[in-house]
Amino acid sequence: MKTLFVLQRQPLREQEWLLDIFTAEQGRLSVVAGRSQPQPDLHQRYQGDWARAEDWPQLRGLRSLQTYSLRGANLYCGLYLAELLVRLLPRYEAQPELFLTYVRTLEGLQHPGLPDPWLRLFEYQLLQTLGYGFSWQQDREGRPVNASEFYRFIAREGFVRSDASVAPALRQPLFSGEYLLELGQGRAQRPQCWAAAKQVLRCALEDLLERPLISRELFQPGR
Amino acid sequence: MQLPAQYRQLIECFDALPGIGPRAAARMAQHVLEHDSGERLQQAILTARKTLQHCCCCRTYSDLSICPLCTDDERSTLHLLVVSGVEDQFRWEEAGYRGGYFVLHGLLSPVAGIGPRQLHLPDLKQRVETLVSAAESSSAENLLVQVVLESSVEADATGQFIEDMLAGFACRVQLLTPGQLAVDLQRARSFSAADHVPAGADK
Repeated sequence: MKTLFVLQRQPLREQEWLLDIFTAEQGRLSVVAGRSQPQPDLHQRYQGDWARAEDWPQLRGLRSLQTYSLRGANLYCGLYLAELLVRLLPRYEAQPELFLTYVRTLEGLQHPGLPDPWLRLFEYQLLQTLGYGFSWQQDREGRPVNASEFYRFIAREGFVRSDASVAPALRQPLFSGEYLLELGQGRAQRPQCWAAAKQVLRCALEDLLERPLISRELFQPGR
Repeated sequence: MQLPAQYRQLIECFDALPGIGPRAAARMAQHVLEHDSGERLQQAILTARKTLQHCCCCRTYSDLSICPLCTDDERSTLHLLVVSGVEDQFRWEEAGYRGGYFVLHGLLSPVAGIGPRQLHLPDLKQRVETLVSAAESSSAENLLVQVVLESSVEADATGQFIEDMLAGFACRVQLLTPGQLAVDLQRARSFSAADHVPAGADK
């Protein structure tokens, strides 16, 4: 039996579901679940196993182990995580660390506090997994980040020390070395640090996405 | 051996349908080529695509730009039921609901590429805005918007988004399960049987 999460489900034929699932051992894959089993849903940790079948592997013995109850904006955050995984994760590649991070992130999002730290840690781990990781504490040449300097971020490369007077002409945001070091050392408390992390990680992820994320629209219901 | 391009294209089209895998797509392609039902299917798809459209008001399927339900003056304009599909609309109509509808044709599912725009939620917002203005100008009671969806994470997100989107409007928004609405309608029917008050599930 393996532990799994459902990322997407769609009805298949009369009595089945086609599921996109996320596991530690095989990463993301598609399986078929019969409707006699408990109705599979997102934000639940399941136990189950699958075997080769005609079109897709057949899921058997599905059992819910834990439901993650996400409320308010955190419900949208859960959909954002699933969209990131479906859009970016290759199929059939073991992802033990990212799987663990996903579990921790869902656990964290159950609490009513600000979701930012959980989301940023997940995004950072996802980039590491995909091979586009970077260090908060080093620039792209491997030199230590200096707290008194400013940096701009280049996707797939990393941080580049930048003159604060030149950067506005480049129309790129500048990040204080102080904030980057706080993020890298795991002692980020100030909202400015998390705002910087959000900008940097968004830039890194958008570079990998062919089109904008749909889940971002959920955070602007007034529009 | 290379199969004809037209045959491969037909399989690809079936394979692209939700819930159809490549093997089932190949079986379907063979079936429509070998049987008369293929001709009927072709004609039904062409006719439906040519004649049907979304009602500009409730977005149900209609052969008119505005469907008969939305032009029915007898229906309550103080009740709006938001449902995920036309089969739900049919169900609640059969159960005696006599307010307005808005059919989403799905649920929010970013992984499937379905966001607020794909569900035409800005149109729902505009519809509510119009109904609220009409209710205010006639000094009637507040509009009641009931979002009735089966329970799931995507349904919860859809209901919550609609609730957030309508937060600034002078209307009440209720998120209900189908079971709750069924009980509501049953109760409304027992009250309204004698005096013809539209069963719009007032609480």
